[in-house]
Amino acid sequence: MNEFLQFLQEPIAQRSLIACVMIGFANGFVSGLIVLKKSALQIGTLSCALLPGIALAVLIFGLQSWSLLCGAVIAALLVGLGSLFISRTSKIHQDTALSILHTTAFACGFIILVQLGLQQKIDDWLFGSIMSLSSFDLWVAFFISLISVTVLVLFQRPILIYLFDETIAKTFGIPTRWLSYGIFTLIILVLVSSLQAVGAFLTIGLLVGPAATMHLISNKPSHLFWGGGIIGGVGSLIAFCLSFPLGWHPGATIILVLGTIFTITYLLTTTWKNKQGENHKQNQIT
Amino acid sequence: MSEHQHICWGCPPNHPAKHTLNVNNLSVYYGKICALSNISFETTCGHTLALMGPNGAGKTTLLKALAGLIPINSGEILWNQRPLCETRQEIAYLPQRSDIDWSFPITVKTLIEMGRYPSIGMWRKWKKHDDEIVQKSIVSLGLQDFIDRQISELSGGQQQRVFLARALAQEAHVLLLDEPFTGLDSPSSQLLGELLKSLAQEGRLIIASHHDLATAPELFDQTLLLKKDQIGFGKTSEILTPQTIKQVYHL
Repeated sequence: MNEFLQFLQEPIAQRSLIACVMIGFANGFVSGLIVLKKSALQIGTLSCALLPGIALAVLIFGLQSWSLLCGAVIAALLVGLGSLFISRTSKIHQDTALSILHTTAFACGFIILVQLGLQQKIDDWLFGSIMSLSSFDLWVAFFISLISVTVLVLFQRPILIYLFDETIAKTFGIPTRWLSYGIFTLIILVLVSSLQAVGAFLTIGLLVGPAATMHLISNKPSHLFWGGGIIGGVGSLIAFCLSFPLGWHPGATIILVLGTIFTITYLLTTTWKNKQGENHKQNQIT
Repeated sequence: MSEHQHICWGCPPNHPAKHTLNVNNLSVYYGKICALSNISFETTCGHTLALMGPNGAGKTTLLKALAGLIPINSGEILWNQRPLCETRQEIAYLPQRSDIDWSFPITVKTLIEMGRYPSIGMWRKWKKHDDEIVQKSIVSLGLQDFIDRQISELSGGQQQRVFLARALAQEAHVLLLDEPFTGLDSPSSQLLGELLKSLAQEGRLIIASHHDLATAPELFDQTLLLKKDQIGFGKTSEILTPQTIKQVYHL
C-alpha cells in the first residue's frame, strides 16, 4: 500500500491517473451514442484501422505525439468514409466494405511498423501504454474529452431525434448529413484519445461497455450518457489502483474491470427481474 | 362565420379560412427511373385524402416528396400559394410503423415532446407554453395513462396514436401518414379512422397512403389513384369505380 502511495507522488503516475479517469469518462459519455445507434461492431473495426495511420505518420514524420494523432485520425476517416463511398457506389454493403478496408489497412500498418523496426512499440499501440504519457498527451486527452462532452450536451436535442429516426429528423429540418459526419468525427476523436490508455484492440470495450451497463438499469437516454461517463471514469480509476499492486497491464485491467461491472449488473438485473416476475405471478394467483 | 372554423393550435391571427394544397405537374425520378409523373391536384384542409394504387405505384414517393424528403424533378407543391418546403413546421410526416426502431429507449412523453423541436430549435428554453401543448396533445389522443411507458411496450394502435400526438405537439396542419392502417386489428383501425376524421374536421389536412380498397370509402373522403401517372382524383366513391379498379389493379 505504502509503495502505491509513494508511486502516486511521481508526476508520471499522477498524470496517468488523471488521464485514465478523464479518458474513461469521455469514452463512457460517448458510448451512449454508440449504444443508441447500435453501431458497436462498426466502430470496433474502425479502431483497428488506426494502426496504418500511426505507421505512416512514423514513416513520414518520425515518432512524435502530434503526428501519430493526425495519422490515426486520417486513417480512420479514410477507412470509414471509404466504406461509406463503396457502399453507395456499388452493391457491396457498408459492413462488408468496412471489413475489407480495415483488415487491409491493419495488415498494411503492421508491415510498415515491422519494416521500420518498431516491433516493440506495436504492443503499446495495440494494448495501450498509459504509463508513458507525456504532458502533451494529457492535454490532448483533456481537450478531446471537453469537446465531446460539450458538443453532445449542446446538440442533445437534434442528436436524440437523429438517433431515434433519421427521416423524422430530416422533416424537422435537421441537417442529418452534417450531423452524421459530425458524430463520426467525434467518435474517431474519442477513439484516438483512448488509444493511449487501452490501445487499438481494446478501445471498443471502453467505447461500448459503460453505456451498455447503464442500458441494463435505465431507459433514459440522458442516463446512458452521464451514467456511462461515471461508470467509465470510476471503472478506470478502480482499474488503475488495481493494476499497480497486482502488476497487471493497466489498459487490459480497465477493460477487465468494465467487463466485470457489466457482468455483475447483468446478473443482478436479470435475477431481480425474475424475482419480480415471480412475485407478480403469485399476486395474480392469490 | 367561415365554413371551416380553425381550431388548429398556434394559428396566427391572419390565418386564412381555408388552407389549400396545390400540386402541379409533379414528377419524381430515381436516377433515370421515373417514379411519379404529372401529378396535379388541389385540396384543402378538412379532408382526409387517400393515396391509392398497387405496389410500386409511387404512393410512398409522393408522400416523401410532399414531406420534402426527396428532391422533385419538375412541378411544384404549394401550401397557401407558397412552396410547402418553406413551411416545414406545418407538415408532420409519420413513417411506416415497421420503419421505426421501437426498441429505442424513450418514453411516450419524450417522443411526443420531440414534436416541439421545430418550434424550440436547438437551444430555446422549454417553456410552460410547450408543456401545455404537449399536455393537450396527450389528452386529445387519450394517452394519459401511457405517458411514462417505454415505446417498446405499446400496441400497434397505441404506437400510431403516439405518433399522431407528436404531430399535434408540432402544431402541424398537414399530416402525412405512410400506410397507417397496416397491421392494425379492426377495432384499432376503426379508432384510428375516427381520430383521423376528427383531426381533419378540426382544420387539418390528412394525407395517407392506403392499400385496402374495401375500407377506403369509409376512412377517406378523397382519393388520389396512382400508377406512376395520375389515374384519377376526387371523391373516394367516384374514383374507386369497378372500371378504374380494373384498370389499375388488374382485378
